[in-house]
Amino acid sequence: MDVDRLRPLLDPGLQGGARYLDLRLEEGASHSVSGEDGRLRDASTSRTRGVGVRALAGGGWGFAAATLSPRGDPRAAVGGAVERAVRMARANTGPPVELAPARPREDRVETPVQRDPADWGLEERIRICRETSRAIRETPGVTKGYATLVTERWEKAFLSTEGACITQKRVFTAGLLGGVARVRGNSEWYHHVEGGYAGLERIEGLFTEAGAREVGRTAATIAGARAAPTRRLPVVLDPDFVALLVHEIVGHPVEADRVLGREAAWAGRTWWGDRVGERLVSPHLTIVSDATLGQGHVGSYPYDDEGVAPRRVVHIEGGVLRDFLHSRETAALYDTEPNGAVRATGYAFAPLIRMTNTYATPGEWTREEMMEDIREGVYLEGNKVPSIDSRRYNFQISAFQAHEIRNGEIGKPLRGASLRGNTPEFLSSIDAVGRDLRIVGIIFPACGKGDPMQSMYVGNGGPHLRGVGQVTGPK
Amino acid sequence: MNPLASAADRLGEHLERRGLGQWEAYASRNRVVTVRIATSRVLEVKELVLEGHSARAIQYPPAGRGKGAVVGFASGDGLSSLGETARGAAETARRGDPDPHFHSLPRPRKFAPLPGGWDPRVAHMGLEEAADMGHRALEAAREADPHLDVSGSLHFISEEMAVQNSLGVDAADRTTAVLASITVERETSTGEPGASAMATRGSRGLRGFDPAGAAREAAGSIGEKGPRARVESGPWDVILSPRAMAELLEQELSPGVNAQNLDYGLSYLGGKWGRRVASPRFTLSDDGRHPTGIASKSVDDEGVPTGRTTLIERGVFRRAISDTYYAHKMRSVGQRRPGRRSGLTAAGVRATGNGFRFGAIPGRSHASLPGPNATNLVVEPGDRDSEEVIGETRRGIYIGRLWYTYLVNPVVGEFSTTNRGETYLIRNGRPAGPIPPSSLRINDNILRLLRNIAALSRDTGQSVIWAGISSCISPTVKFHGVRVLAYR
Repeated sequence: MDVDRLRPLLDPGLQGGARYLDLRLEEGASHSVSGEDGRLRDASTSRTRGVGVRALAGGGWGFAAATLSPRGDPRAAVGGAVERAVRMARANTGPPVELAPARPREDRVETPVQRDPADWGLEERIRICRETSRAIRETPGVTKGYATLVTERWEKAFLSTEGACITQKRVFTAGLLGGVARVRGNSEWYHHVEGGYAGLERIEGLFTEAGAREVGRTAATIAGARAAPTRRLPVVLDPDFVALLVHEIVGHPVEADRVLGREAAWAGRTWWGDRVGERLVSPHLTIVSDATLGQGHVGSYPYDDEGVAPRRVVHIEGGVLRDFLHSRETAALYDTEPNGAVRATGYAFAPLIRMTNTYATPGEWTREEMMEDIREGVYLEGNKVPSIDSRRYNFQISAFQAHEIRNGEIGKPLRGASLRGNTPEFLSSIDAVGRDLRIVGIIFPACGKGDPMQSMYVGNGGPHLRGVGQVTGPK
Repeated sequence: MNPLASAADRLGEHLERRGLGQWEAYASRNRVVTVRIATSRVLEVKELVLEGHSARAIQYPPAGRGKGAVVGFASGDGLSSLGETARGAAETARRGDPDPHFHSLPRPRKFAPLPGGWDPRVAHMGLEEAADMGHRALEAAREADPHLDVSGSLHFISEEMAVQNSLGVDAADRTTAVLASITVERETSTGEPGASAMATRGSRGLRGFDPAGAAREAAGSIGEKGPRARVESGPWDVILSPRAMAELLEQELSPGVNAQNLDYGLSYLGGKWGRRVASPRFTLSDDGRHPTGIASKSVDDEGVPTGRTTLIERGVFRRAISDTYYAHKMRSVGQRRPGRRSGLTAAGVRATGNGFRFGAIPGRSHASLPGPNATNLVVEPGDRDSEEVIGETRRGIYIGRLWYTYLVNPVVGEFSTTNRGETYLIRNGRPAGPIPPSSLRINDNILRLLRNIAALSRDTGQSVIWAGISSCISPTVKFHGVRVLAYR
């Protein structure tokens, strides 16, 4: 990626007095193969190349994007995008936007890859999706088996008028195995997802015949289970369920743009507002975002889309609200340092504050110890579908599967279980935190935010958690 | 020839040279200018542009070596490197194994361009002009009440496409849409949720488009500051505005009538073809050529003309929304095992002109394979004014806007949603106090709601929900006995 030719386009003196400009030049390719019931469903390849330009010139942001042809000199198209971004910024009449200082970096970084995605050619990918979807479908009770394998490889350059020049080469791999089962008149579905910024080593364990059969068995078990009760009960949540819980009722509300009311039109606000320093939930809970967690995770990256190297952010520490996810703009408003939480779905979008790897930190309990004291409760496993109010105060999140807990032991499976409650009450009920930790990729589907909506891969998770909540059975 | 049609033409030539059974060449271009308002200021003005092309390559197995065909797909941004895309799609088609349910790409059918679907002023919307409309909307809301928090957005969308296939399909379409949504909120001094109201405007062209009017309407409908009504959890008569209905239509009804979900066994309507699934008062259609529908289009992304498809007719499930692939698959599977499992029958499915490709930014996307997607979802109106629907309610809750309405379990139709604003208690046919936003949750089953429709208004409204791909045209609808949970 030849970025040197683009540097002169970022001379603010040439751009109608823009106070700040940055551009993201992105090019990449993705491959996707899907199998269904033992045959190829579809296989596709996509190539992208384009540029997104942000400008500060008047009282707000201007952003313009342009699609670039795969070869040839991009300068004319990029220059046009710069000119339009500046014009849009100048059309804003509010008070000027200030940016918190960030050291302009010059760097080149690359995802460490142990197994190159190219090691699996098209035929191999087709075979994998065919065989795993067949193994799921052949499980007794299963009426549909499906498998999807996605790999992406892209390169992104970030340049700014402050002198930043960063190129990132990244590889992303993800896979999904799923099945629909019908047992005794009940239909249920289940899927399992793995993925992250890594090579095939991140997903090869998923695409095994044994793993596929386990997905099929799980779908059939859920469909054949009796309906979950509707009662207030002690619950133990597995890390996959915790992932969606943390995502919805902590991760979104710690986005500073949301706290500031900038998402009020659609996504909404936060019930806790600016109550930093107050104990709001259980003292056993600590929740952080950490994009430096390791490059294999979905929410890990070396630089965000403002050229800021991310740092670990503690949102809730022993139940006390501490810090938010920030852009350079919101960090300036809070008189703090930016923490590298700004990303865009692609060159065509203006970047937003997004979760990174946002998760509950581990404690000291084993799952068995958590269940020992429970005479009657429910173990909720896997995350299915959320519904949250616009202040993230009341929620309902469904689990893929559940089991009853009887006298300290895991009992019979249950279907159609959800957890419903309000955020401070449920999070305050957490009295045991597991010593395990799993970060789950929010990939299929990804997290939606913004206007127009952008889909973003994020990492969420935590250990097992124990609390008390309203379990809801199928309606 | 326009650049997209020219690109499809050249891509077709590349595909033709590859000796495929069939091929399809597609190109699209979207431009979206967005003015975003937040915290009572124009926060950003942005222009999103996406242009590209894609190819479907179809390879049939030799005679006697299996049914169906292999489908290869490749796409690329921009309108060059077409040969590389053709090669990618063809190579995939050569290496895969046949999908026994793939029959054919569509054959050419005549269609008339949609009148009034393209407004060049929207397509070439000036950046400063767009920003100015945002500023005027903001000022209109602040003039009505300077203490309100104003947020929202204006979108100016243009989408163009061209599609050709080896069977003679040669179609192009272009449409524009303008959307304005303005939310006003009044926070309480205690940090409790205050009042919230939203008003929208939407059309295919700029004529009559009035974002400032939406802002005035929102500010005027935020409601009195009077004492809040307290409601208890339990069954309630619930009246949903056309905008709240749009959430149910896009998030609950549209997935239920989608042929792909029916095929996967992921629809609560599986096995219910020809059966009563709703009150006889309820008729739902997908109308791709609705005269004022924001999502109206001449032709789908496979080249099949759009039209009106009655999905639920007087409470009976009639048809699914389908593209060419699922129309054939569900017909052929249905003929083999009629009425079983997902209830696949030959009668229920045909290509309805709903094979659309939607991707990352609003509008058609070259980077996606076509699949069943709704256009304008239309609920047939009732026989009384919405005021009468409210006036005939002894004890009920009116909800103007829902939020986060998702199918918690799509297989059975269980859903969950919350009230986002414009909510009040109704007692003896009259408003009896505002109910705060985010204080109610409805956790119920969509089939139960549809069976318990008590009344529909004759007046209708059109809405597009956040991240929605359809436009929803609905009356105000009253449901009996909805399971409502009240939060303090």
